[in-house]
Amino acid sequence: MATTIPTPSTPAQQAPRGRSRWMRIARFRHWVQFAFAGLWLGPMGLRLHWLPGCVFHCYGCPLATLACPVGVVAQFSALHVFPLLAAGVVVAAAALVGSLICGWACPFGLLQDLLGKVPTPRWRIPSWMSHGRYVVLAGLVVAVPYVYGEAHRLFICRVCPAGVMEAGLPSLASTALSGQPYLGMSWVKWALLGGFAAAALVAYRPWCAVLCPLGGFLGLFNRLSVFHLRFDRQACTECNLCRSRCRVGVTVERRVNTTRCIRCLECTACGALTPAPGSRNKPTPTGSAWPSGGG
Amino acid sequence: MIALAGLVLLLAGLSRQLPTADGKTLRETELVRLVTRAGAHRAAATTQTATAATTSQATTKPKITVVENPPDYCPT
Repeated sequence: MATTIPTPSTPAQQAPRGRSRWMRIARFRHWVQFAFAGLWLGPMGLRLHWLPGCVFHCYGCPLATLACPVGVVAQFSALHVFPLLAAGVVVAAAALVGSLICGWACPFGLLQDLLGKVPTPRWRIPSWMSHGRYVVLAGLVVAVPYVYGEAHRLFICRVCPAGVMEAGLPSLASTALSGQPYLGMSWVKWALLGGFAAAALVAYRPWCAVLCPLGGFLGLFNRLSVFHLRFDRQACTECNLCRSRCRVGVTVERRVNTTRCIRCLECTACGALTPAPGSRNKPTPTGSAWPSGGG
Repeated sequence: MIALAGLVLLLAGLSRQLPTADGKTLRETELVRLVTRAGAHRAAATTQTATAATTSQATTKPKITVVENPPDYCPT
């Protein structure tokens, strides 16, 4: 089921460091994530909940600046109203940068990245499991709310780990601090929390890789977005650095703009892969010097 | 082009007026604010199933009903 993460076979195959300026930028990714987290967490008490954001961040969070687009789409689906605002924000953002949002701006992604710093054995999530994101999108975000309304147990906000961590736990804490009677969370919420934390300790970004409906939608635009990645076959020295650095498990040189990519830009270390902002993606030349593999 | 389409959707959403069950209209921005329970007056939008008076078969088209002072809400 799961495979271990490959590494460059010999030190000689390590690509020269500092070759890619994008890699130097990528080193600051966590700082950029923290900066965006500060933006989503209500600077100066801003509460712009009339506007959906483009990241996965629960509007039930006491510090949330914007509304969660997934929650808004689900709520509107329950009302049988097409969410123009949420669709507009997400489509515009996806068309510009695709899943760069997942890797650089999403606060829930940052949370998983931080959990990923814990030194535990890591397993790579099989690529086929990424289809689960579209099951969640079509099922829990659109179909279940549309048919059963927001009261259904499988309504996305009721089974969302971001909701548990960003809204449930703060609500629990504020209730306890204010001396009000303990209401607690149901066992489902605690199970979600425990399951998510455990998964994040043994796999890289499990929510993003398997279940995130927003990430799945953004990933659909990776091939079309203004900001995209380009693989230069002529510059490739088969150092295997891109594969070894990709924590999502993308076979980078074959499917560089796959829907699973979160555009952390770690694969740009060797210089054969470069972000190409402002121009449309060119088709990758046929044939490959690499052994075939899933992407 | 796709980004422009998204921008058009966004602008359409900003100017959209939605009918409510009591015959009034509601801006989409206001509806987003209501469903996220962040309003100053703590209102919420809920669905209401309209029942056809002449038949026993209920229609499933929900109406937007603004509910004042709902209980505290947490999506979890």
